[in-house]
Amino acid sequence: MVSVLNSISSILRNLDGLELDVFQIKDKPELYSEINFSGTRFFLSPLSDAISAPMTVRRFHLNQSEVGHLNKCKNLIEDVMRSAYNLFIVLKGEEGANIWQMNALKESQKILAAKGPIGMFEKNNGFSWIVSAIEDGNEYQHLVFSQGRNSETPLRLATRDNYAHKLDHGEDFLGYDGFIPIEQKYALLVKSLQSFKQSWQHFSQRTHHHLYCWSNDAIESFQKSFVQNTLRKYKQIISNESMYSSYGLIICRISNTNELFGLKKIEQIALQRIRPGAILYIANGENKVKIQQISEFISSIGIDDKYLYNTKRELSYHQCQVGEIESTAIAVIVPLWAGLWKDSREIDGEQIIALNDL
Amino acid sequence: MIESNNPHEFQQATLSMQHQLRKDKSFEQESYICPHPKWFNVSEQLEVDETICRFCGYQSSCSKFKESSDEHVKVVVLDQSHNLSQTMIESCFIGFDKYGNSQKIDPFNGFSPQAGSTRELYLISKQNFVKFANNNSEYHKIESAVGYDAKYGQPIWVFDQIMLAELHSGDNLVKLEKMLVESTFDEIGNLFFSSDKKNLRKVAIKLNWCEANPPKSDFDEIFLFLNRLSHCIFETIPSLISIAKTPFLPHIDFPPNYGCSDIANLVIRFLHFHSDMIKKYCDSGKRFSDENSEIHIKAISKLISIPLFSYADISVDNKARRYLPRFPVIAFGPMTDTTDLNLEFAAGRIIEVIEFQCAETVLLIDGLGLDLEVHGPWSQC
Repeated sequence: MVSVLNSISSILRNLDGLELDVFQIKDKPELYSEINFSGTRFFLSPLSDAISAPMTVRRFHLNQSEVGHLNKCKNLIEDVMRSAYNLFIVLKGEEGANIWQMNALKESQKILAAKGPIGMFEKNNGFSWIVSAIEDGNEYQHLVFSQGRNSETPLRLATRDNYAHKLDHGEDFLGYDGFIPIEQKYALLVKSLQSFKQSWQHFSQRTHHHLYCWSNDAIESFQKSFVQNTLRKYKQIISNESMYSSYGLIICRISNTNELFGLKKIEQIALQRIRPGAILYIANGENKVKIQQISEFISSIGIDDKYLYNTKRELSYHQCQVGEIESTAIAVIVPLWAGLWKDSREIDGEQIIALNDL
Repeated sequence: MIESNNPHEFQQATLSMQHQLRKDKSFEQESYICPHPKWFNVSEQLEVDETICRFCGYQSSCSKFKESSDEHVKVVVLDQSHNLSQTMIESCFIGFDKYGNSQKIDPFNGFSPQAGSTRELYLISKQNFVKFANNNSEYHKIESAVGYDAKYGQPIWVFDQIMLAELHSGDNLVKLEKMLVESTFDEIGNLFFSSDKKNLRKVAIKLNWCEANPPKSDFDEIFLFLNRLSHCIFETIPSLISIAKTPFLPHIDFPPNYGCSDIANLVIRFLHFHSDMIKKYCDSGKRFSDENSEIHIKAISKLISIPLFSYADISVDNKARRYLPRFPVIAFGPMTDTTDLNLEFAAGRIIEVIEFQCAETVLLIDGLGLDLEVHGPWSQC
C-alpha cells in the first residue's frame, strides 16, 4: 500500500503543475508532527486507517491548539460572552440575557470540544460570521452574531465596505478588521469579536484534506491520464469543502475472473465509513467487462448502485485512449464519515443528549 | 501570599485567606479533614472543603491535593465476558503530541467533555452491548444519528431530538394524549399533501404496518389514523409546525426519508418514539360514528411496537434513562476474515479499533458523564 500512496502522492503533488502540499502518512505520529502548516494541505493514508478517521481528525484539531493559546482563547471567549451578555441585557432584559448566557456557555463548550476555537466563527453553527450583500451596487459585508440555536435570525452588529477598502488598499480585509458597529451599543461586542478572531485568524486559514486510498494494483499499471483525471476530479470536489474533508479513493482493476478484488477485512470494515455522494469513473480496457460486474463490485463495497450514473443518468467513462490497458479499471471517489457534523444544525452529535436531558 | 517576604508572612496570608473562606461557611460541598493542620498551627482536626483547598497557599505541597489532581480512569466491567489486560487498555491512551512524541492522551479527547479528567470508563462485550441496545429501526446507515431511544430501540437524529424536547416540555404529551383518546375527529381537515398517500403507503410497507399488497381498506385505515394523529399533534403543540418545516438535511439531521411532506415526516418520526400513543388510541373505546371501529382498530393495532425494556425493571432510584447519547466507543478485537464488526451501533459509535487476539470483540465506552451501571440498558447485564 505504501507504493500506492507514493504514486498517488507524486501525481497529486504535481497535478497541473500546481505543486500542491501533499503529505503521505505511514504512521500516526507523522500526522501529528505535521500539523503546523499554512494554507491547504493534502494528507494521504491507506484506506484501512479510515476506521480511525473520527479520532484522527479530532486529535488533529485539538493538537493544533497549544496550551498557552487555549488559555488565551478562554479569556477571549469570556470577553465575548461578557460583552454579549451586557448587550442582551439591553435588548432582551436580564432574564432573556441569563437564558442566552446559559445556552451560549453550553454551546461554546460543545464547539470547543468538537472543533476547537475556530468553530466559534463557523457560519450558522458558530457564534459569529460574515454575511455578504450587494447594496446599491457596492459589496458590503455584515458581521452577525447568533442569538441562540432555533432562535431569531442572527443579530447584525457591524458593516464594512469591502469594495471601497479594496480600492484604497488593493486587498481584501483580514478577519473582522474594518467592521464599523451599526449602533454604539454593539461596539463592545464587535471589539471583543475582532480581538478573538484576530487571535485565531491563522488557524481559520488552514485547510486540510484527508484522502484514504486503496488500489488492487500498482498505480503505474493504470492508464496515467485516467488516474490524473480522477485526482483532478477529487481536487475539484474538495474545493468547496472548508477546513477539513475526508474522502476515500478506490482505484481498481476489474477483470472477468476476480471476485473479491483483494480487499482485506480491515479495509472492508473501514468502508463502512462511506457516506452518500460517491462518484464513479470507468476506464474501459481492451477487454471490456459487463456493467453488471462493476455494479456488483460497487454494491459489495457498500456504495449504492445509483452512483454508477452521473447527474445526466449516464456512466462516466474516461475518454482518452492513449495508454489504454488490457483490463477495465474503475475509480471511486467517496466521502467518508469522520464524525464531524459539518452540515448539521447541531454542533456535536455525541454530546447533544448527554448535555440536554429529554 | 504573592507579596510575602518570608515563610511566616506567607503562613499569615494563607491563614487570613482561609479565615475569609471559612467565614459563615456552611460546608455545602462535601467536607473532609485537612491532612496538614500543623501547617496552620492548628492541633485539632481542621474541616475543609474543595473551595478552601483551592485557595490554600500550601496546595502544591499537599498530599491530598496531589492525590486528587492525579487524573485517572477507572474501568468498570459491565459484564464478565472479557479478558483485556490493563496494559491493553492503556495502549489506547498512547497518543502523540504535535511534535510526534509519544505521550499519554485520553483517547476520548474531543468526544467527551470529561476526557482528560478522572472518571469511569465501561467495558462490555460487543455481543452484550448490542443485545441490550439493539437497533430496531429500518435504518442501517446511522452514523449521523445522535442518540438512542432504549425503550423502542430507535436511533435518534438531530430532528428527533428537537422534536422530542418539544414534546416533552410542559404538559404537551398529556394534552396530546387527551385529545387522541377523547376526540371523535369529526370534520377534521387533511394536513397531508396529495402525494403523501402514495409515499406513506411505501413507509407503511417498509415498517411492516401492512403487507406489500394489502387490501385497500387496510392502508386506508392507517392513512385515516395518521391524518387524525397529525391533527392532534399540530392542534395541541403548534410549535411543532415550525420544527417540521425547518429544512433539516437528510442523512445528517434527519434519517433518509421517503419523500413525504414535512408534516408526514414528523408524524412518522413521532410514531417511532411514541408507539404507546397508538395503544391508547386503540384502547380508548368506540367513539367514532362514521366507520366500523373494529376494522379500523384491527388495522391500526399493527402499528404498535413492543417496548424492548420495561423501564420499571431497570430503574434504580428513578435514574434509568430512556434517551441516551450515542457513546464514543473503542473496540478491541481480532481482524480476521470472520470478524463481523459494525463501526456504528444504535447506542454507540466506534472511534478507533485496536487489533487484539481474543475470542470476541470488547468495547471500551466513555459514558459521557452518565453512570452506565445505573442509567443505561446495560445495567441489566
